[in-house]
Amino acid sequence: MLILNDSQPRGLGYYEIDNRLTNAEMPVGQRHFEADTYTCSHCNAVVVLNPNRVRERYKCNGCNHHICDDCKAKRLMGNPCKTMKQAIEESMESAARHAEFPSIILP
Amino acid sequence: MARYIASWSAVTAAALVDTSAAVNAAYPGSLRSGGATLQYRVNEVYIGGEDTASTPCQMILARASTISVGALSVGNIAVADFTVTAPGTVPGWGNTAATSGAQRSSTLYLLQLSLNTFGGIARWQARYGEELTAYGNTATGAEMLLSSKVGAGKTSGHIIFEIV
Repeated sequence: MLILNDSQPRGLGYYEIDNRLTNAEMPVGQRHFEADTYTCSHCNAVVVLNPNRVRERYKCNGCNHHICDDCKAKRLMGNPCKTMKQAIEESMESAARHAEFPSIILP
Repeated sequence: MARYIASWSAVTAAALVDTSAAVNAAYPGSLRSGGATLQYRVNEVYIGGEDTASTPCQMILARASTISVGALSVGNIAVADFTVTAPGTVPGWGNTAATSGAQRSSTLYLLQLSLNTFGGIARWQARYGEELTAYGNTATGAEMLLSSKVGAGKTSGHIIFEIV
């Protein structure tokens, strides 16, 4: 059972692998797997919550959202908080700006 | 904005190596934004196995490190709300690229949906606000590719996404 506390993300996605109708031999207890998920706000990777994990999940204090272990490592190495949403907005704004004022291509 | 369902039927996947071009008709499909300011958000992926013998299959939804070239075809795309006004540009979807297929990034895996395609199913639903986003018309943001990394399973399924 997964007990939610402050170290756990809330309001989760849902992940299911259902092999109950699969007519093949499988290790016991592996026919049906259900887990909660969250999406890393930095890289958009979907993180499947391992109910047996005891290490705390890292919550970025920049965006106040849980992020994946890879992004946590980058964050702890000093990288700034940059969410996928921000990256998209910047890119779309830049695309729109360039469409309005196309850059001059010099020969 | 408008929600769409991209689907595929009875596609037998071939194992695809990271950063190599997807072979036409050998993967469920890729979803390419296709507009500099077009953004879409994926909020559900469903894969249903249809093989007649045990076939473990490692299906991966990942960003494309090199996007597909040419029109995408084979695969359906339908708007969820019949009454909605469709946006001017809709992402391309399909498992057949007119020129070259997308290449799966070796690092930007978004979802790993392993299943035995002998009747197994795999499903993921995003929490509201935590959808997977793609945007623009350049790598690595513009295209997501659902493909098999290991195993040649036959599947049908759908991806639900919203154009923002």
